[in-house]
Amino acid sequence: MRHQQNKKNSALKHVDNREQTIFRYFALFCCALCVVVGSVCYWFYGRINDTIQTESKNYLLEISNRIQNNIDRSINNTYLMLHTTDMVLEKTNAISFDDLAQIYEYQKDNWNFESLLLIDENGNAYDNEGNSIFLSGGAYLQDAILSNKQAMSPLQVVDGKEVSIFVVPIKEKIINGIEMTALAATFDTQDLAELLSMESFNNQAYSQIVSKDGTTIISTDEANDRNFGYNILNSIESSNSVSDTTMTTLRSNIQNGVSGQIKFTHNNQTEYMVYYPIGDTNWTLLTFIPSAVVSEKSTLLLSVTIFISVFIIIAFAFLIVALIVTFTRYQKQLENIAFIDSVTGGNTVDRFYVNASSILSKKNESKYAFIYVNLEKFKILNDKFGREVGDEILKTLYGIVNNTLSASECMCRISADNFCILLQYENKDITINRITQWQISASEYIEKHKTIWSLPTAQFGVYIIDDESLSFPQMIDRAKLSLKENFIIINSKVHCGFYNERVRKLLLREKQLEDMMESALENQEFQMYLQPKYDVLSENIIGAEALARWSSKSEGMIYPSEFIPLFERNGFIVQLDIWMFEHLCILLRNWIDEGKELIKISINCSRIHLRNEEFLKPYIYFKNMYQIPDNIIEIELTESIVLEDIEKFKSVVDQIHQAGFGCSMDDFGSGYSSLNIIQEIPVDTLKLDKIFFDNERRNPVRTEAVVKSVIGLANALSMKTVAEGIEHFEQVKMLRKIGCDYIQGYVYAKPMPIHEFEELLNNNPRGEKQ
Amino acid sequence: MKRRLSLILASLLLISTIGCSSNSQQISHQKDILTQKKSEGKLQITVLVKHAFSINSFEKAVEEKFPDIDIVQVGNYTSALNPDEYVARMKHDDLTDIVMTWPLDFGEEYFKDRLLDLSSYSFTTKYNVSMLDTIQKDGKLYYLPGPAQIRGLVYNKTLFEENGWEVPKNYDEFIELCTTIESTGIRAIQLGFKNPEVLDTAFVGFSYGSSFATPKDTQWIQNYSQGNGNFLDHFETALTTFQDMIDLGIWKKEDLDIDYSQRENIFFSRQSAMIEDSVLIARSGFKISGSTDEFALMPFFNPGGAGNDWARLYMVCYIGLNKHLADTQNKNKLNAVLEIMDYISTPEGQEALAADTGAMYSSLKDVPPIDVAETRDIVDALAHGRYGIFKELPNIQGTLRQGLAKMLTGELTVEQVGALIDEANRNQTSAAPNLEILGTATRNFSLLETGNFITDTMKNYTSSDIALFLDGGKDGRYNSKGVTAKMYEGDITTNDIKRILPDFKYGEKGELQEITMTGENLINTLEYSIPVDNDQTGWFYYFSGLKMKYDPTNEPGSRIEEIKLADGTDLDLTAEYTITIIKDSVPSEYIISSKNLDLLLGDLLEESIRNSKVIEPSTDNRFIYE
Repeated sequence: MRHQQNKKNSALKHVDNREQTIFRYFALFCCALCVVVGSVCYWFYGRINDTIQTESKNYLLEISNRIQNNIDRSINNTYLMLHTTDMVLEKTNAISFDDLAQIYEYQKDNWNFESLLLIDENGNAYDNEGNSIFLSGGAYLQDAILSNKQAMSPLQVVDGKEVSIFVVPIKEKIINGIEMTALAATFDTQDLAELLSMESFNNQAYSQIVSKDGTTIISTDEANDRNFGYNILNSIESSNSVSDTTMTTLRSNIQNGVSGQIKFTHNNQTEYMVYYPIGDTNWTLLTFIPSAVVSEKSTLLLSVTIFISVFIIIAFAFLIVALIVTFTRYQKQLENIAFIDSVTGGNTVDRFYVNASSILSKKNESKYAFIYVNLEKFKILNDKFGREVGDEILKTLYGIVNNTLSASECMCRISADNFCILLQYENKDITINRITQWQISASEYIEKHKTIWSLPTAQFGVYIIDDESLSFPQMIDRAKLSLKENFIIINSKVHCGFYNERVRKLLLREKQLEDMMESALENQEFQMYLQPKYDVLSENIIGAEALARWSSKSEGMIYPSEFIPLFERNGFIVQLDIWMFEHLCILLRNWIDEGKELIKISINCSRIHLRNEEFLKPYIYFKNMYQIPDNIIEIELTESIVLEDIEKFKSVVDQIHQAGFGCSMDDFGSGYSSLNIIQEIPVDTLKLDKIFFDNERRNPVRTEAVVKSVIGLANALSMKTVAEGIEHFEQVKMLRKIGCDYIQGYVYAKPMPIHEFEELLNNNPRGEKQ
Repeated sequence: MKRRLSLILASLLLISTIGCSSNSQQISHQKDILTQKKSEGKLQITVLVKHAFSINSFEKAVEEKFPDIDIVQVGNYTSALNPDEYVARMKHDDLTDIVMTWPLDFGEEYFKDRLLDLSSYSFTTKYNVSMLDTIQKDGKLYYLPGPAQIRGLVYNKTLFEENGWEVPKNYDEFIELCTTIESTGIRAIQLGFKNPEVLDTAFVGFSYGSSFATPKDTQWIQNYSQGNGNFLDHFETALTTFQDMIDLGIWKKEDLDIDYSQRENIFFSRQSAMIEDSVLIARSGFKISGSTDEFALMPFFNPGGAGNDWARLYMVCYIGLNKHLADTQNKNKLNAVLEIMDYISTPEGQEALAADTGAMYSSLKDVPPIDVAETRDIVDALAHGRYGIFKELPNIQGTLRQGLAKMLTGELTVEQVGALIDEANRNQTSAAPNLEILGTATRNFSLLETGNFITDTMKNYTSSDIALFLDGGKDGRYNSKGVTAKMYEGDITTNDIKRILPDFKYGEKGELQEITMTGENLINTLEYSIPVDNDQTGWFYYFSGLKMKYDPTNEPGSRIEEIKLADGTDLDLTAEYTITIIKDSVPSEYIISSKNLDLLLGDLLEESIRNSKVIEPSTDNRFIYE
């Protein structure tokens, strides 16, 4: 059975594990989904980024082309200006530097040049005032002059400053006696540099002009800010950010006037460089743009993509967390419901089973006891102080006991006022001592806190676990059973019983009877006996009580004291009572049919019946079926029913009367009913329990006084009184004296089979022993 | 005074140590002498200074600007006026961190392997591209242009004013002026042709505008350097002008015996009215000679109509970096050096460099020439870009100088010189100095080992007890009397002898003497040395015949820690010892007797190596300096 319990626990865990596995797979699925979504976003970004980069590069090329065209146009315009000036020289027949000075004055405002020069065939240059100027514009310019070609250079140095010089060949012209072959003008190189400025790419792009070997020709402030050196190709090469092959191709392309672009990193800044040959010069236009600017759009897109991805991932993560939290909370709630007792805040029985199972599975050599605790008459405390105080009592007592338990012990509240404790067991004395200590602690608590409630009597049934294959409910049963026999009373407030072999045998017996009872009923092993009731005065049989007897085919007679309590616990009493009632009806029917005079027969109705509000239906059914006259059958109810609920009792008595039955209170005086209760109960007959007469011989006066007062009260209420368990004639005399109506007891007749009763009734209706 | 003393102490650093910052192990097998107290926590940056220059102002400016840097100058005061010392250093991978050199193209075959390409560094963009274009090599930039002196004809303004002489406006007026001056018995102009390169000044200076300045001139020279054409086709006017000036007595045969320092003495003593130089010399009349006259510059003049007046740009130096700085282990030093290069590339840095050289023209962008009173007569030429750097003619410069000299002596005519030059040009054999290979060095010598070699040779020659020869000086202070360079493994030529010997001044030639001196005064000599330019402290001697434990970083008087004769015996303070020296290299008051040997040290060394064929450093550890 313990194995079954473990299997049950294991099954619960299995269910938990399965839920966790599903949950884990779901979380993994969410994570995978996050990765997939992120990957898709990144892929999407990559595609868009490529497109943007390509477009940006094309745009950069276009910008370079535009700048290159501007420079071309500017250079050509300057050449045009010089040719125009030459024409003016021609038309004005200039022959001296004074003439040149006049033209200079006239033209300089239109063309913004700094000086106008004439150059002779050897390359000697003269300004408009006839001052000799050394041309320092580099070999290219000098070659062009000597070759009668137009050319320009930004490298003419005047007064320590570099200026741009444009030269065009002219028809031979004699100025101041010198044969001039070229006309030139100088400009502030900054004017040319301004052509390199651009407004594209948020003014982040910039250009500069280099020679074919990469040395700087014209640079802008923006380019200077980038910290390139004199030779920009060397700067790029020294950055080690491009391969040797790329570098070789770059140099070759620039040398050969081929345009193109590269990407490189210099001073920790990655840039694109577009190179573009400029017209018929030996220059190359370099246009730079930080890659960050080119990829600005794609960076934005990347940011958005990353943002969305992160958002999705966070959303999923949030969802997963929410699920985990919800799941955990739900699980916690389930655990609380399953494992935390709402009254004591301690363990529920399920939790107790799990804990106890765990403890027992680890226990090594330790021995354990299973203790069942029942608080006696706790319902009375509930009634008296209310539910809340009742719960407080339970909680307090639970706490007091629980605080003394070790980590390898546990307890729980099973239900109502019942507790279970798994306690380490060394020997009986120690266990009793611990229980005693609980009682002392509880008393001290009450004393200390001046509670309105007093300590109820507690029953501790102890089962020393010697068979771990038992289920916990079975252990509880054994612990309960220990209370049935020979319990120890401690400080008058604790009953402590230990389950032992005798109890075990009792249990085995009960089990045996349970196994037999169904078939016994079918096999007519139960028999109805009748015990006559005698009129005290006439000593004639005036009635009888129908009593069940079990005549087992295998065991012989089994006494009611053995099976009635068992049947009351297992509910079989209901079936037996009905069976008895039908057979009583059959007997009475026979008697009626035989024309015999009917006497009143009482029959027991167990308190168990009253749990069913329609318990009378089968009684009425059989009464009607066998057409039994009213008031021939008297139904006996026990005093304990009154104690449970007097109003209900009164209602039940009314229903019995209405159904045409008499009603008697059986065993009156066996419980704790006060005499006053008699006036509350509308029964026809009061059957005095034999307990009234147990003390009769030792103290007859007192017995007589008590019984007399009961009988007197019953008579006053028009109730008939029956004295049960009367065994001596002295008692008969006393009862007769004090006015008891009937006597039922061995003094006249014991319960007997029907045929004997019929015989007695026919032949000797008076008491034989009288 | 303290500052002065510290500078003196700082100067006591042996070249062999400071001259090989990145690869000293290649230069010397012997640990070199440290003569300078190290500046704790400072990074030493060595600078090879251009021949016959020091950069004390620049050093001071840099060290003030960068307190963590200690600039150590490595001087180049050899007797070889040409850049042989620099080329030898390049050849043997013995460069300092920073090199300052002139002229530009010497040692070009070593640029790629020895110098860092600067063209990728941003400081280069601060220079006029036109200037960088002239010094770049295949797109690579091995030097930055230092500031340039503006040179012209320096004239005695006071003398001119006293005589009512006007500054001429053109060549004809210049010739007339010269004739007028000569007629007074004063030399109109004395260039001092004993230094052959000065002949270039007389030739180029009066023909630049007409023969060198125009595109056509450049084109012709390039074509001629390819072996095409005749020299006189282009330079007949120039040679004729030179001859005319000889004929007019402006250039004289005797000028071939006048050297640089003599021409200065002549000029400042009013024996001549003009020389060729810069503002630096125009301002140093008082310092050199005590002259109180005012001096100023006028341009050069050319015959002919175009470019008839012009100024000469004389690049003080070109500044390069040792390629070993790019080695991984030198990263920190490279960064420091690049900071210095950044500084040099600012007007402030240019000014610091110019302070030592009298330079007035910066190649930085948008920095105009310094406008000073001395150059007012030259402003017009500068304003119209009429200035240039002397161009040497490939292949034939040496032959040209020989021809010019022989025109001065009347040995050759214009036509003969033209033919001589054409011959050299066609054979691509410029009249280079005839270098004799004297012998072979088995390995590189340190500076100390070179000093040991010289003194051993001196002592062996005379069989004297001892020989002494000064160290040439350190870190911006030089005495023109001591060892200035090392000998390197391989052939030893006559030029190497010039390299290791100083550029003697004050008429000194390195005449050998055998003197006698007491032991006590020998010690005094070794402690205090001689005063040079009133600079008494700091010099020390290399020696033969002694063993000495010596700390050159200590104050004079406490430098000798232990001294013995070479055989290990104690020096007798009272005994007289025979000592071989060069004249005027020890305190005269200690000399008891002296005997001139009628032999120059240079000749002795040449003869010695010529005889021994193979030389190697001594290993006797005679000089213990730590």
